[in-house]
Amino acid sequence: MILLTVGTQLPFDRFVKLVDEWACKNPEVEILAQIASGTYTPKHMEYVDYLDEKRYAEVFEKAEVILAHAGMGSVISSLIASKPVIVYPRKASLGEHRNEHQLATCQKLSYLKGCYIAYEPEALFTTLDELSSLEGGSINPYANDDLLATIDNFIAG
Amino acid sequence: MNRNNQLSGVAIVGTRARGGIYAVIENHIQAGVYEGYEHYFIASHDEVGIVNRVILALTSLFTLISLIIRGKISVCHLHGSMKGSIYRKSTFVFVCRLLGCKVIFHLHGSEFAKTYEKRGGIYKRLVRYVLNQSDNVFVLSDYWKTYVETISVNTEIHVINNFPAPVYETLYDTREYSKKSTTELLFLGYIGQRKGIYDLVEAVALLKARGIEGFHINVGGNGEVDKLKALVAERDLTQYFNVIGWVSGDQKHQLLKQSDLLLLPSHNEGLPIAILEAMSAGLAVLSTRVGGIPDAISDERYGLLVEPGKPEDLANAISRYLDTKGLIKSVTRNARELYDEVYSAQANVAKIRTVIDRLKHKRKKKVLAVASKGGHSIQLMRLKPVLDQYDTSYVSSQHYDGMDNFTRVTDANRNSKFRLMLLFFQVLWIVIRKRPNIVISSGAAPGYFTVLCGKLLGAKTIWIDSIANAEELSMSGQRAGKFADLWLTQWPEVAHENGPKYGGRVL
Repeated sequence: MILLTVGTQLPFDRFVKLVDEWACKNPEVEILAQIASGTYTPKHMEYVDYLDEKRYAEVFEKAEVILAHAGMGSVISSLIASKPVIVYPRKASLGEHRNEHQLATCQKLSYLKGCYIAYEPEALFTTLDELSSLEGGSINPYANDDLLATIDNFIAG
Repeated sequence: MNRNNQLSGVAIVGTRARGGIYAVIENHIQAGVYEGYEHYFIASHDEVGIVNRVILALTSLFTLISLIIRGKISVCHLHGSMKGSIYRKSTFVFVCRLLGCKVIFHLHGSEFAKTYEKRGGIYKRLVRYVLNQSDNVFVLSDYWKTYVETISVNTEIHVINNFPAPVYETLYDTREYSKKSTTELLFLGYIGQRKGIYDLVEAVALLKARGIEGFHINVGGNGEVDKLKALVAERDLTQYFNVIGWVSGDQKHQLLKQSDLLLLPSHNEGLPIAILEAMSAGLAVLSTRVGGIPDAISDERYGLLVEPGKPEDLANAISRYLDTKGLIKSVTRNARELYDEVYSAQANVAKIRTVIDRLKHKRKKKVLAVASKGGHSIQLMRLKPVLDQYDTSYVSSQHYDGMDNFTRVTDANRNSKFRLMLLFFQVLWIVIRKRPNIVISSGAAPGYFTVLCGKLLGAKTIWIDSIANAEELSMSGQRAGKFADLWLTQWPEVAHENGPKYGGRVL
């Protein structure tokens, strides 16, 4: 199954709608969408406004692929769990976030294995069509040594 | 400035009324017990009217709370005799426990056991609370250690002898016992039956009746001076007694220098400083088997002890000192050796410092790690290997795996002013309650508030701006920078002078 998440802060109707369109053409793919109280109501996939902590963890565990806005929580969790994550950034120009940091984040993330970035609907559909060929990434479960050392040195002071 | 040094301060709480406990506190400070630590004396009691006592007690409590909250102290050296002071002392201990300050309870007072046995259940319970909840209990002698162990489960009970100021130590080398025709005896202490002065009068009367001469007694101390003078005159003992009254300074120094024998026939004692001063100065001791005295004068090599309230025994012991050649000299030599080893300032300062140092060392730094739910928390948890090395508590609006010692706060962002305010007070309370040494946050509203509150309350603060902000800092990150001692971005491009630094990233 696929978990679609737009995080818990803001809805992201444009993304949900695109995936719903794709779901319409691919009814055999099971999708659960967490839409954060968006106004668009998906018609071709299951959806829920918010999953509670426990339920989210269960669904996340079960999901083979994650579809996410460019939120670091969703992305990092997917990478840690070695699940491929398709990232579709919010655009502040369309009122989807406070600033364009998700676009900037995506540029920085593009080098990461297991992270599939789609800036436009076409790219999103193309990636979704190749669902079965996507591979998960593998990252260290913890921050890089530089950051750990910086913090530890400061605390130990 | 290194804030860690500030955190290692010590508060000393006790009475400032003239007398034993305050003298001990002054002595500790002068002898260098707290050298290298910032130390703050807080007077919790004085011999003043009841209203002023209450005001003083409250003021001292607030002073203590303020010092702890501002991170000035991490250890409280609390002095008490466990009489009326038990209510104050239990409050201090409670506050220290609540705010994470280590407590050394220093038990003084010769009447402690008597009072404890006499008093009711609430009093007893408070006493046990103070003894059990203190990290360390200092008692004045082995006797008191054994006693406290019967009523307390605290395993950290140490004997710390009240030590005299080392000013009389040099007198030891000036002794010339054999060249004197009259043996000079000295009574130094409160003039009243509690210290056995009237037993001494009886004993001297007995000696006079036996025709024993060649001795003379100076009496120094406050209390029933006139009553004693009258009694001495009435019993016709004026040729033996010189009742001086309160002595201090040079006069006391002179008395210790010229006297050969210290008389202290007390009925009830801890371990009187006068005895230790005598041991340091080279006076032989004649005292009673009460309180901590037999611990110091454990056998006749170190001095002579009699049962309290027995003038005849006292008289016999005095005459033994007078009659036995070389006894005073050998007793003073042995006592001085014991003094150097156990009762001197040098020996005891070292003991106290070991305990204080250990309490501070044992104290892992307290870290408060804070983030809002979602990406901020997930980034924070990527620092877990470092955070796990410390005494870390987590705060977030959602619990994530690995968040031990977790406190949940409300989920708030700038769109809800009311929730933000609620969040601010939640965070403030957590910081006050936890008293972290370090506050670390990876972002958003709870992190910003915690860094702000932490900074105000003396913690070192760390802000790690989210990795999501690759081109400019987040809004909370820009604001938090003012309060962050370590201000980090995860992108070298965003780092700049007078701004956030780059120090690695969570991926």
